[in-house]
Amino acid sequence: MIADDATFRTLMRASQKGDKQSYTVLLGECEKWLRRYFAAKIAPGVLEDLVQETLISVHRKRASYDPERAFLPWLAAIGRYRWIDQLRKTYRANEAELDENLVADPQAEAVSAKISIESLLEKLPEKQAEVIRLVKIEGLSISEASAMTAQSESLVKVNIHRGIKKLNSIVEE
Amino acid sequence: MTHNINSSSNGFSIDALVDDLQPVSPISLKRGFAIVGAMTLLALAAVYVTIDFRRDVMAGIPDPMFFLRLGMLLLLGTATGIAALSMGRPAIVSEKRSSGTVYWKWAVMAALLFPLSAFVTLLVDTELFMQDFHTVSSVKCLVTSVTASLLIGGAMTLWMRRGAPINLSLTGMLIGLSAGSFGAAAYSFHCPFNAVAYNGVWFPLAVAISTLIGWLVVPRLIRW
Repeated sequence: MIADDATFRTLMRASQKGDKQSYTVLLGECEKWLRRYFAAKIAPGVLEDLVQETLISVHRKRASYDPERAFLPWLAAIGRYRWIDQLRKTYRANEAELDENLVADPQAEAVSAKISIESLLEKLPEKQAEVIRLVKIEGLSISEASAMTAQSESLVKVNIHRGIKKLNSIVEE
Repeated sequence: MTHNINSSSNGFSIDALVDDLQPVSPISLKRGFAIVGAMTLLALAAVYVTIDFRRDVMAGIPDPMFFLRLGMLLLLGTATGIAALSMGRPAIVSEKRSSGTVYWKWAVMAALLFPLSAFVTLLVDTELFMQDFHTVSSVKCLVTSVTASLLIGGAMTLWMRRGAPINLSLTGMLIGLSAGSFGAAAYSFHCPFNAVAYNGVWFPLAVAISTLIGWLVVPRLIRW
């Protein structure tokens, strides 16, 4: 069973004061909560790294938690930021290898991340998903994406903006 | 399947984080605003020392337009400053909405009445608008206001580096907007002009430049 918000708050308050025993329990509970939080959002192959990175961020940014407020919305915000950051990094680092990996090792992290983001993009209107793929993932310029999709440059920008806004709201659900 | 990352093959361990634990004081919005206030007073002192205050302020009988302009800039700086500093303590949607960080947009809309009034003046009486435009003084307005905003925005950025903003572009933009407003407020103690044409163009332009700098530069400095 995962602790409730009041327990998290008590543990975090004590941790901010330097209580190591509370901190050990807190990080263990955060780990469990984060696994459940990310489970529906990300491929199993990258879950471990993401939970670890988020716990490190919890550690580094613990001063940003306001002890007068609920804990879990803060933890979710830290987790969401790390998740989006990891997706961005994975895409940049593996863009060149992505096609080969897709054939050679379907379980590779980059592929898992791609499957994860592809499943999110499928929830967007096709025009928005298309320009996000071209500009934000494949790195084309606005004008190149405009030429490829027969959308005007301003429409490409609008569709990217709206699509990313919608992705954010999907992620927050 | 139950996982345990107390000790992981890649070197990560919860125990290491626990060993590294030191007491921290939660970041405080009051302290953040105290820093912003101190920097604004410093900018004000610099304006007094270098270019002096306007005569009616020194005489203790300021023109009503001075109060109107100063009040608007302080209101805008405060509303956007609260929003900016609040972003250092992140929370997902419902918490964010209840923390008042969305109300800065109303202050921006109220402040837009100044450029709107200037635009109306331009349409109604172009000659009067041009007379009040004071292009030479405008350079001083822009340079002084933006310089002051860099001082204030720099302090806000340093404060924000302890926080955990999750929307870096918006945070940067709000820091620029708030710092620009307070910087322009400091300069307004010197600015001798009361005309709407002047106040509705050069002050908003200074705030806009600061906002643009915040939007472009600050996200790189607060990424975590």
